[in-house]
Amino acid sequence: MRTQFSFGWLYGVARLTMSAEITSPTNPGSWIGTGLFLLAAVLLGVLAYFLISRFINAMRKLEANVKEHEKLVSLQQAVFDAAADGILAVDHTGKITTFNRKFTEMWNIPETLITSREDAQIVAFVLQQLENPAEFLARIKALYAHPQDEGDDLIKLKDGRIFERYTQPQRLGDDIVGRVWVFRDVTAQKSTEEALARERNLLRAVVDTLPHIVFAKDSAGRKILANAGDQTAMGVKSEAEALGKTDFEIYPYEKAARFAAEDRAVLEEGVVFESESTYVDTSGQRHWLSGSKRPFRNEAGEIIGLVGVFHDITPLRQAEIEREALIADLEAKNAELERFTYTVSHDLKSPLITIRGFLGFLEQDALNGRIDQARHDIELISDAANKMQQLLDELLELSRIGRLRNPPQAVSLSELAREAAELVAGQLMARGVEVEIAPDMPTVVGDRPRLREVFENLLGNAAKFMGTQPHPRVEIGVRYDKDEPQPVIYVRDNGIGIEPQYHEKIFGLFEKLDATSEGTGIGLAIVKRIIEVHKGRIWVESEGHGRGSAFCFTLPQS
Amino acid sequence: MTTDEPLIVLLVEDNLAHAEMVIRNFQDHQVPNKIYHVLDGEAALDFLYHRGRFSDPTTSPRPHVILLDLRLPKINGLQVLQEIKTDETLLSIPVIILTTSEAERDLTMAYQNHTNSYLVKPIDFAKFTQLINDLGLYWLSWNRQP
Repeated sequence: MRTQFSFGWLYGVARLTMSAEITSPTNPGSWIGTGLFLLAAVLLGVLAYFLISRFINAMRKLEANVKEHEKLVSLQQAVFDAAADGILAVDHTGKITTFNRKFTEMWNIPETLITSREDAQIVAFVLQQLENPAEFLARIKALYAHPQDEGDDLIKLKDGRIFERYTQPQRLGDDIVGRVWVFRDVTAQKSTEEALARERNLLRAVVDTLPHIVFAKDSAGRKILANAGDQTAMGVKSEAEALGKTDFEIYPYEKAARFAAEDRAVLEEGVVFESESTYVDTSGQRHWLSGSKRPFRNEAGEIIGLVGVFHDITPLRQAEIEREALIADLEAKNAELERFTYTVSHDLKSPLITIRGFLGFLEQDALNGRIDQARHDIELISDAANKMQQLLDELLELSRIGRLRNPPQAVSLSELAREAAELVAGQLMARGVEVEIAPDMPTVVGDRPRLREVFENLLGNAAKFMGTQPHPRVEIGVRYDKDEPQPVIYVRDNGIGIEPQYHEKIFGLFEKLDATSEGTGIGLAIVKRIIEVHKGRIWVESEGHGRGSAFCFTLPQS
Repeated sequence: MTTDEPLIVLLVEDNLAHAEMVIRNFQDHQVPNKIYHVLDGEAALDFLYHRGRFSDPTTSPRPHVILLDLRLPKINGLQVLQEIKTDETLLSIPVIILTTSEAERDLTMAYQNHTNSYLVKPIDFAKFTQLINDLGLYWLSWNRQP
């Protein structure tokens, strides 16, 4: 405004001067003199007019330019003030040239300080708000040393705000005349970024802490996330090793192809894939996995990848398997106990009925004086009583197996079989049985006296059921079956044999195939029990009547 | 059936003493009878089907009544019962289970396999005698058969 006013004043003076020239009174004199004067005056007037009008034109132009410039300056000032950033300009000596309103707002510079234009005070005011003023000063110093430098950095204020500071030299032509500083309050942006980073770190920590396999793949099936669990499953040492790779670059082809097929369903149809699967890891241990893969989408709802979470349920599954085995074992024991009770009640009752019955007959015999009949009846009573005692003894014996154990020791089965053969030599010789024992049978760890009982029983049975065989013979040895991991010990005879339908039944308690044969039928039940207590298995092989039998058993070697 | 023709009983019993008790009690009975005794289930079926050593029908005649023990060597009593009751030619022969077993399961299984009667051997001698007498009277005198 001041400028415009001063031009207006100049213009006014010029106009007055001009009108004074034109209207000034002339000097009286000669006409020549007057004429010359007039001519000179006219010429001068013309010249003056010409000059003045040119001057006025120039002045008008200048005035217009100045107005234009004023407009521009005011626009610039408006923009300058309206800018979202705080701006400060200093000259090459460091003296403040200008700053905008935002700058004063951002730094809370009081009005009085602004009007005072005391640079030192303004700088001091700014510095006191900084968390690290020394750094700020150092930065400024460095920039003065290198006036051509541009740069941006972050500065922290004591009140928690964060400003982004940008600076560049102010140039006039090739000369650097000062420096412009731009400050932007990025507190909100920074706190959002920090919050995002925090959230990302938190999620990552969660993902890494989960005792699960967690991974994510992009739509092309490339890994974009693999937590510790997944790294173990893949057999890689770090996440970086797997990122960007497809399953085909990680797993064997067959496995990768299976995974890829599952992924396709998720990526293309958007379905959730749930599965329970099993695999063997690089150390050979079997794992069971349960989990799912589900798509993840962008904001537009398009599937851009998938997330998989799998849980190693191996301990759970192992516990389940263990539990099932225990239940099966318990059920078997229960069933065995039930059979046992049933058998015992039946078999112990039988002799009792006999005793009571024949006591009745005996009474009748006495009344009728039938001495021979009485003798027969007494014999039957005595037999029944003996049978009962035998049954009780044997039951006690059976119940001791597995309950009362001798300390386990290494036992050579060949040696043990020879010992057993000596102990039942009487029975064997009575039937003229020839026994052959292989010297190469394995050594096992177990209850020595019990294991000897096995051979004693089997040898005794072989002698007992030789039938009419003219050359009774028993072979004891070992063979190695293809589908049996343990060596198979056999006691093979050439006696009467056993029909296939009775191969199971003979091992039952008090089971006899021949009602008239000696014994209670507990021998094989005892043998079976001893073998089972040693975690082995026993069975009989016989093609039937007259074809001999082979009792086979396994004993885990340890 | 006429009184001069003896009634035929097949006794399936592995316990020789028990068999003797049954036979002796039957001998005192007023109804003429002939008891054939076998020791196991396999022999019982061989007898009924005239197999092996029982191939001659004159020495192994069709019985009017079968007394069957449950716990038997080789083929057990329930299996024998099953076999008889699923055979058109044999199912009309009354089968009487005579056993020491009081087990619920045996009783149920026997009736499910169409036994005609289920008797538990009494321990008391007087009762045993009574049972055999009543049994003979009922099945050999009162009961009518085709």
